[in-house]
Amino acid sequence: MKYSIGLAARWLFLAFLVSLVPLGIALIGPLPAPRPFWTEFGVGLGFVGMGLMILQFVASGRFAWVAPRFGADVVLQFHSRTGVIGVILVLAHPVILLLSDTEYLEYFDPRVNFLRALALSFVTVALIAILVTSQWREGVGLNYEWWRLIHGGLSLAIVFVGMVHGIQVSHYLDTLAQKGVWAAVALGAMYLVVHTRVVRPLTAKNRPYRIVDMQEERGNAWSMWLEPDGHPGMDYRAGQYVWFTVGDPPYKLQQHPFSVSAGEDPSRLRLTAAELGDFTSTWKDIEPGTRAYLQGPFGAFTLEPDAPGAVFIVGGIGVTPAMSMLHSLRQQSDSRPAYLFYGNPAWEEVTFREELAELKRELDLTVVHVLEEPPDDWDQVDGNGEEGFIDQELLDKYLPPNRKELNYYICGPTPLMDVAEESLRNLGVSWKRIYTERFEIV
Amino acid sequence: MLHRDLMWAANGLGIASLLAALIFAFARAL
Repeated sequence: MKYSIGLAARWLFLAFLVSLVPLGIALIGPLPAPRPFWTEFGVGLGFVGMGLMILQFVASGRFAWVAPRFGADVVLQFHSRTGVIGVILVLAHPVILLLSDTEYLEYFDPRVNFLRALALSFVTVALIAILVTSQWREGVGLNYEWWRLIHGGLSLAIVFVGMVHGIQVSHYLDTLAQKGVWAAVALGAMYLVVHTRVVRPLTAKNRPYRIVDMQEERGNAWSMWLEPDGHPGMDYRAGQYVWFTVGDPPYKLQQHPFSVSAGEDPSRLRLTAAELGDFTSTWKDIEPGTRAYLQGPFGAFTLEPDAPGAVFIVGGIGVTPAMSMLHSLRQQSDSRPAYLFYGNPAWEEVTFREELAELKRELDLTVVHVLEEPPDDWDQVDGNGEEGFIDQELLDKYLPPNRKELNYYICGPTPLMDVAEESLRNLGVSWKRIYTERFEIV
Repeated sequence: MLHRDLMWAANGLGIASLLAALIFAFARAL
């Protein structure tokens, strides 16, 4: 998908409209008598906060009609930031109301209404919890599976309590029609989460895969070859990723996104993972013949044919989508030049080192290995060996004069991605030509 | 698409939402 200002503006405007839906519902009915400014401001924050919460359900759900426009990675970064803002606005709703009139404290008083006080106290804690566990997931010691379960559960609870609270207060949702639309919008958003987490995994169950081979790779990584079992397989594009579950049933906790690492072949696909998390460290114990379930494909981190060449800037296991795209270029006998800047700690840990050497023989491919600790005979080992980290100076040294016309694909650890994005910007590359996949976001 | 541009867009949406709440409050209170 090509990026453009118009496309970005349209989607941003659409997101803004979604966030205004609750406020719109409040304003379509007969308006109650005006109250002081700070009271109305506190109430307004509640409505736009609810709108931003609903937007998160649309943005986070890996939906085919949102993600391919920008890439699930971009959508998730957007979700992460607007989610934080939404939580802050919702938390500001009771704070501003209490500052405007302390009588609002009765909403938290169990003697006045026990269930209401319980629900609103719970949702306050839930909002803080969702913020803390998302911003500092590893800091609070949550693994990815549990975090994902807690995140989904808390978000459903928050929107549900918000829905009931709006109906119960009823000040701006006085008519039955308003209450109906309000509930329908909230329940519809909640269904999107249920669809992603429950309905879609169940449909994946009808399309099982069989693990046919496991291969150890350099850099503590494993490749897994999968074949569709009783169906034609998946029509994916090189660089995309799938959600992967091993064993039965397909909706259990261990769902993870993994990039495809070989060329485009629906009947046989390869996933590669490094031993990073709890789940990937168990990969090596998987026996060939085991069943697996895939959902996808997802992502817009794919080759765009509009440029006279492609540049991949990757670090460590971030090489997997680049490998897939390079294999795809070979399948298509594409003769346009490609560049791979590949950062690793050491030469022995360079995943797909040999496979890249093979690809170099068949493609117009320049590989620049950048090692933190290169071997002593580094200059002889590879023609384009560099020491240190990928930075602007290094990119400037190797990129051709027509660098502004090329497409850029960046995937790796966050520091590498930040430096690469900044460097390309300084080198005059348009944001429209930069494609990123921040796998560390999940 | 750059992370920094994306954060500008997300922050912009947040500010726009906050402004919407402010305009709503002004319109209702005045």
